[in-house]
Amino acid sequence: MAAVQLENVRKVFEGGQVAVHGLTLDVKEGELIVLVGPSGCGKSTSLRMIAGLEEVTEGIIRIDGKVVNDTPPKDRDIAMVFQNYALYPHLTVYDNMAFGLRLRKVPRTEIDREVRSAAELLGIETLLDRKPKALSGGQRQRVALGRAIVRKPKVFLFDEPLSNLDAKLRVQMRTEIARLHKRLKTTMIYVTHDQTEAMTLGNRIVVMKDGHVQQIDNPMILYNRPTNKFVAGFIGSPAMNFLLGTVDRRGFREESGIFLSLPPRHKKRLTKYVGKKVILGIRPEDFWVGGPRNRGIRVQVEVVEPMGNETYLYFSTAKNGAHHVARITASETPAAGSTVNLQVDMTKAHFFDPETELAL
Amino acid sequence: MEKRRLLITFFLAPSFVVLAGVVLYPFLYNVVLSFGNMNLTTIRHWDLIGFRQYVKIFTEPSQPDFYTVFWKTIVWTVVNVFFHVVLGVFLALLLNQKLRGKSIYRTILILPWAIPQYIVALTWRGMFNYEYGSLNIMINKYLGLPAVEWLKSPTEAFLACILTNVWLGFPFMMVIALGAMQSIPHELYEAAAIDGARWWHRIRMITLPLIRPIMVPAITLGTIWTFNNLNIVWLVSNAGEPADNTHILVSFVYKAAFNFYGYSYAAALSMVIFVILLLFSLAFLRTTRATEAAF
Repeated sequence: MAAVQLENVRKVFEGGQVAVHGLTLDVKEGELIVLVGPSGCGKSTSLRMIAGLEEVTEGIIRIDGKVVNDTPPKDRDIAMVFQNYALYPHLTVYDNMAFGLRLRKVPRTEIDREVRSAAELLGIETLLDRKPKALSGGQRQRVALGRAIVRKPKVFLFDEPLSNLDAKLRVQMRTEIARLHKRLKTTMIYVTHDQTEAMTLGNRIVVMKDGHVQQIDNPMILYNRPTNKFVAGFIGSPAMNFLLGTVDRRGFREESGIFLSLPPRHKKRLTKYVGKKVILGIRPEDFWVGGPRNRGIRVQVEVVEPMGNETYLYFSTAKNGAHHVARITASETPAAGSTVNLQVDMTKAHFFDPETELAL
Repeated sequence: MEKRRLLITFFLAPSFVVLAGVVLYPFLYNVVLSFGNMNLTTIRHWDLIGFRQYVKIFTEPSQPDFYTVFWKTIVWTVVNVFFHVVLGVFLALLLNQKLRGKSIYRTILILPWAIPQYIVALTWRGMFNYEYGSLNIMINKYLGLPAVEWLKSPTEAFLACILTNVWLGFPFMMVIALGAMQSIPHELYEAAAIDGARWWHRIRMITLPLIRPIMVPAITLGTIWTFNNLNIVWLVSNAGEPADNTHILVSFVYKAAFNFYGYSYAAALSMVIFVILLLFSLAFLRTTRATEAAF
């Protein structure tokens, strides 16, 4: 178990492309921190710099208090799980798991004990004699986890480990990783582009975009108090709806004419924005069907997606306007093409500056 | 279903006819010929004489001696293929690194392969010339050693043939090995680096085992080509000089057929070569399990 610190870490690739702009991060001992963001946001590059697979252009990386900028990967006492498993195809599961220990000249009996105990922990003890090509995706990922576990490293690094698995297996493996973290209590840094994975796994989440950190917080704070429009849109599924409009003394008026009155809390917060343009953010679950016609918004439902326990309604507020989605209870499901009255829980509304995109 | 079968036959027939004409018929003719007594005098009225040509190969003395030529062919093949593979893999390892001007090196290293064998053989023969050859000039001028009678003594002449063929053959293995190395996922090396593998470990434990499934068929092919490489031996040694001492089996066959006109004897000899290579290929591919995909 070790803490990992990144101080103003920058990565510039050959050709001048900046992948990471001054990342500062303090991962506590035993914490599971998730780096999340879209492709090209610098999350994997950051992880690879921690692993020692990419050189750090500027800044300092510390593992367990020691600066490791120039330490080769093998001496950092880390283990990494890769997206496509990176299992040695010519070795059996047992040999794959024993590979690192053998290189470190660990006695054979100890290797055997560690490999078998990790295999038991992951439920792969019957697969030890198989080669990776004879395993399913989920089994391969377990072996990759096992290879990391047997090393008993100070830090686990995960680079999108579940991306190649089907949806059901992804949920199962996600739970297993969470359980593993609880059991091993080792520091884990986990990279994913999937916000659901980030929300369910992370003690804290680092949201990144274009090489910049957008927000570092625990999942619920990220969800309820995003610092900018990007985080608000990225965290949560389906994504938050954004409506551009103007604030007046009574409420928010969207460009197409939709009016939503503001609760006192927001009115007070938005006083200096009266007459100015703002972006209103509403989470899909903050809509419900019904209520008085003179309140809420009247929309034509374009697409209905029944999920069983709930339904997603897709609609747009203006011609050629942005598409929005509401998550409603299954019993309220209207037909596609019908016009419905949607009420909005404005107490949970978010507001953003259209220029800076920062939360107001 | 019947119509579909007819269509398939229709499309396959032209290639089958061509293959039958250029491979199957000559092969079967060669098999029949090897049981006959065709030579220059019996060319119009030759008869089938059973295994007599085969018996002659293995029991009667010949010039050069069959067993000497056979062992020389083994040495020729093993030494050549060994250096082709070692040099090829070594150069591929270098070219697989981050290297400035990599494409220039790669082009230069492929050049021997791109030049026609005939030109290469004659150029090298010139370089082996006792008086004016560049090799002797270098040996004499830079190493201060006496000039070597490259093409006059049996061992040196055979060595000259081997040197030429090594130079000619390594680019093929290099290209194959490089292709195989480039197909190894980069993450494996990264995982190994994290696991604690040094440069040598990575080559020994990842690169070599993973290029094996591609290299084994290439080595099989290389062995067959080298075993049957008439051009270099024939042209560098000028038809087996000195005194038929540089022959390998295939040049021996050529000499028997086209210099001594012993067509059936040569056909029987080529059947022996065919069986040797067939047995080798089957045994090699089976023991190395090369056809099993790694991934």
